Amino acid sequence: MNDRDTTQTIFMSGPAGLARILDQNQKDTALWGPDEMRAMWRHQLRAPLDADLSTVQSANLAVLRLAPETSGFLDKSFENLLHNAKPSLSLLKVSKQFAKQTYRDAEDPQLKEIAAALYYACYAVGMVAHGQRIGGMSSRELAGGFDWAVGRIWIDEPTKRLIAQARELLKQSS
Amino acid sequence: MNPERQASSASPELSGEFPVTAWLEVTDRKKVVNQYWVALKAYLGGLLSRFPEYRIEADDFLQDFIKDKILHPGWLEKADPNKGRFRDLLKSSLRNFVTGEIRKREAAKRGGNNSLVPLDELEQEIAGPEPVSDSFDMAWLQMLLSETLEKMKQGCAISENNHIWKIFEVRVLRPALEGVEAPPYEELVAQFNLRSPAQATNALATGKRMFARHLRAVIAQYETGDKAVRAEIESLRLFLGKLLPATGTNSEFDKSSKGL
Repeated sequence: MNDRDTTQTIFMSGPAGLARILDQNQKDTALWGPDEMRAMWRHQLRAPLDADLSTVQSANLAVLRLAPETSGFLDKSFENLLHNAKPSLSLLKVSKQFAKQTYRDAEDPQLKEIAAALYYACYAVGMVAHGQRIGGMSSRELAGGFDWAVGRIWIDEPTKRLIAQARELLKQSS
Repeated sequence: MNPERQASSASPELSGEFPVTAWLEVTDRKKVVNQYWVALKAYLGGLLSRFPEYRIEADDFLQDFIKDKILHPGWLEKADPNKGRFRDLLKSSLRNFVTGEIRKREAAKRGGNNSLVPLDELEQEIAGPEPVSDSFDMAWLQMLLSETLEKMKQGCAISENNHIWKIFEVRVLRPALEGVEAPPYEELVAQFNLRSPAQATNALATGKRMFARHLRAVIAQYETGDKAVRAEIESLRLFLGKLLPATGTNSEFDKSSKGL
């Protein structure tokens, strides 16, 4: 990174550069490029669980930390949880809660998409690994969500396969 | 060039909320002169480009304008927010001042049968369509953004959020101003040790919010109230839009996750 003072570079900038800066005042300008969704999703999967889950208002991480079912997971990543043969159900629920909270609170549309993908991935893992729905979503809503997630080109293939599996289970149950 | 500019930009840090008004600061004449003389000088240069024989007197004109108008008791009271934009008042006042000065000098010369500019054409010529106004608005905008960014940078340093300034700088400012490629998401995450997309997004979004807040605060030094500040931003955006070829942007978000 160079040390040029950007507050002074303004004086050498033309209208296009100034317009781009002035546009930052607008709420609806995207923070990330559409091509960066894959990197964001990868980052989400690799993010440590305890960092993100500590922001969930209803989660009692202190209790989860002591529960035998969750021990060994909290210092791992979302990827470790989602792709584990026996993922902690409690942590899946808190992760889903985190995703829902992020989806609702985020202003950035791309972060909302990442949160939605994580939300459906947690649901899917609950169904595939535990045969349980981890929330109160209807089959119709879930089917729509799973279809949406499977259609995202930026979601990794192993996670997509899990979601597709859950979608299949949903079909069979109906 | 403008040694007091640094001092003038160090006004009290504005916390969270947008200030209702900072109009009183406009009556700090020294501050006005300090902050806007570059724009005035640019504008004056444009005005005098039509009168080459007077270009050499640009500094005198500006000095006289500042002394006789800006520093003159009562003049700033004309800067009534209900009567239009402060920026426009400065422009029209300088334009009128220069017209008057040239007229006086031309009259004196004519008395000596030595007129360089026909007096009856003078008014029309100087008050005609005004592309030179762009130089004023451009200089104004540059100062405005520079002050905004300076305040944002200081605000980040004071609140120990230097990473927010740095992220905003590398991801938004440098690409916009210097035309360099914006560092991709992964690079930013690695460089600033951002642990999750939420953290990365919050940092960049906070930077954007801080920028918007400081921009409004800086404009509120010369425009009163939220509505006038928004109008000023819109006016500056339109001004830049006028200088740029039209472009279209669109964003797509497939919102099929309604049940979430």
